[in-house]
Amino acid sequence: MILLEMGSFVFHLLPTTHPSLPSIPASNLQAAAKAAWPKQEGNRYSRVCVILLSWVTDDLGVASEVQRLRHVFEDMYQFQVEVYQIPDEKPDRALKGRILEFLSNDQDSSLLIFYYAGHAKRGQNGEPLWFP
Amino acid sequence: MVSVRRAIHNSQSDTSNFSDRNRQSSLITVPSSGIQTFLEEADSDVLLLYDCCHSAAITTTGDFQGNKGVKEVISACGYETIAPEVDEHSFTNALIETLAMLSKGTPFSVGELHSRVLSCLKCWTASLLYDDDGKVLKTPEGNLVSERQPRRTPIYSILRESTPRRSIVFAPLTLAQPAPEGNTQANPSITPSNATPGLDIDGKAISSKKSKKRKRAHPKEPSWPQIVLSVRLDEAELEISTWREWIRSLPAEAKDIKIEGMYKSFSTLLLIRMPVSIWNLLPDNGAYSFVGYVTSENLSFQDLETQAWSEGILDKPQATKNANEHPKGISSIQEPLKDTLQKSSISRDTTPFESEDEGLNSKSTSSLSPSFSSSSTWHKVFPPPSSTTLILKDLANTPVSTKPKRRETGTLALACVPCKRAHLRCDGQRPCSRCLANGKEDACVEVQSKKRSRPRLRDESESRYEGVGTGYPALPEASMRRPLSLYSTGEAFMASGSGDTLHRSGQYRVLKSQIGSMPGLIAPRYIDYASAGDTNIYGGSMPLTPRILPPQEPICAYLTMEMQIAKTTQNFGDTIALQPIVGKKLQDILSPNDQEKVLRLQRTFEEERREREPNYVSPIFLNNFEDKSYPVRRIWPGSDRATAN
Repeated sequence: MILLEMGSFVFHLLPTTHPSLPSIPASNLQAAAKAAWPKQEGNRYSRVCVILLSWVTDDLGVASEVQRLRHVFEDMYQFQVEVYQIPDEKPDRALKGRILEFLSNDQDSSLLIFYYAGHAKRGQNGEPLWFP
Repeated sequence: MVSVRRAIHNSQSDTSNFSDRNRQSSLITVPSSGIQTFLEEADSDVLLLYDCCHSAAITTTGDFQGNKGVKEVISACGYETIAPEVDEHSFTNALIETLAMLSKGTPFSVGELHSRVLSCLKCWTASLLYDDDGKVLKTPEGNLVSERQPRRTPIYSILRESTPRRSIVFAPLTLAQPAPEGNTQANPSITPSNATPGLDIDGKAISSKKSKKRKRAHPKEPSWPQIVLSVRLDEAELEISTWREWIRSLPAEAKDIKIEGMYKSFSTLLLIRMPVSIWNLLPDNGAYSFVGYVTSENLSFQDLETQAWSEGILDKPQATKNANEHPKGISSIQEPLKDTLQKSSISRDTTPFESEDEGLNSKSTSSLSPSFSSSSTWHKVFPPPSSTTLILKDLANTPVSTKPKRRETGTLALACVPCKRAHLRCDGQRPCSRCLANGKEDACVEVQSKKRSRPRLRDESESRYEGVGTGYPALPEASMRRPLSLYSTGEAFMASGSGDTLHRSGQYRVLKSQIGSMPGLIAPRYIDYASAGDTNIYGGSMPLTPRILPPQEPICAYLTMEMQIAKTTQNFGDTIALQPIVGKKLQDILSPNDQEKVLRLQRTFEEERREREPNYVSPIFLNNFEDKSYPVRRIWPGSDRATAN
């Protein structure tokens, strides 16, 4: 016991030799950061934009769900929510224009959430088609 | 009868329960793939939520290699499946409930969101069907008939991955002051304190053309001081964007880690600023070196940033609409950024570490950490993180003056025993919050208070220890680690005397304090930055008269300069069980491993002695060592004022 402690004392006083420069300590940094915040608060995005799509012709009654979802995103997450109802007239052009406008939020540091509620079917080539 | 929702019924469906809402005739259709392509091209991370039939059939439609964001999708049901009606069974309903519930917790990934939605949906079992008389329905084969499972399994898939892989993480944006409305040009939310261009992911505050009354994410004010490190990397080709991406993939709080500069060198040289708390957790590695404490952002960035913006070098993050008007849009941010970094790094406030001899004494460093300005290069390259943690923790909450003046005597709460032992801040409540959390309420009593003032004289003498001489091997803090827990109980006492004794007895050192608590040695240089509560740990001076008398005789041995045991207390002899002990060399009673160390120690002492007193003549010892007043060393963590174990 005594010798051990004396040993540690001596060890403390005498520095070990200079270690040669090791490689990248990235894993260390990462581990440290993760250890620091195993359950951290916060958001890596500076901005979150949500677009909720449904049809003007809403025979399914999705409007109520869209409204609830909007409130959750807006009030509980403080996201920026846009609601768009796809018109029956020239829907493709209208929708694409709207999406392009929405994509002006496109940034490295943002998150875009895209929600669609409505009908869908398979097209002739197997691709999904949306319709009211 | 359940009606089909969002679905075109297809031939495989079980028509017994689903009505066929024939919408095939509808001419109004939108191919979703076109829209999805737009979204897949985005730089942002994108989450797609589809509550419609056939949704899982959607696959990527193009080949966009090297795009930046992650694209993930959760769809209400699989291919060839019909999504449930708008009711309690619907995907959106489960999604809303899950989101609402998770919003109160910690950040979560899309994968977790999916699994929660899934479990929310799957917590439902079909009940049996009964006929009008209340009899359980049976098929002709005798099987029970249950109601149709209306719920579908939502599908989660990743459309595109970023490299390196990261996941979309949901968290409520922090509440902040609402951004000014409709102002796209002024970048109003860019605060000076978050002006690290490009690197500060969250520093790019927001204002959008759509800015209504929505709250914006606003970076929390970081806590000061922070640490600046230099890191040497093997990989010379690392791009700053790679680092940015890497830091982004860390847990959210790691956004406080900032890259302050990057240089090409023989190995890439990187300057990183990080909160003290992360620094505390960094394991030792020779690849990074402590540069200094800082109490502000990189100020040179601010000027450059404003300049860069006015010159249009850096695109304003918000003015995405106008990006095309600039000769260099967002996409070209990387290159100018690197230039900016290089430029600004030259004029950094904190001196770059290439000039290691001087760098550590530069402005922002020296004001805070004279402790690192010792003559030895050894511990500059290999800073003593563990030992400094003790100080740093207090430092983080201690207002820092520019000059290392005498510590202000504040009213600091006395730490309780467990906190003291763990070297953690104690809030002074009894029981304190830490003990409450750890269930140690019983042990939460104050550490025995000791007189904490010190004679003024010490101020001058503090610096003297610096001049111990080059012969003294790289001042001990360099090799310091946290004191062994073995000593933690007594260290407050043991360390207390070191400072005084050092100066009082000249070349003879009280080794016991070094054994027990290494901070004792460096105390004089740390003392001004430690909190009052820790004073005695760090060797705040004690009155020369012992105040706490040992309950019993300490285990103690006195050594000569030749490492010969000159005198012991009774306990020492008993413990060693080696008689007679007096006159023996210390090496002889140590394990072989330690003998070398003792020899080295002895050499060190002698060198130092030669330097200080070249004319020193060692005393002539008689056979009887008892009761002679010759210079001795005492070893062992007991002393006249300490309680030995």
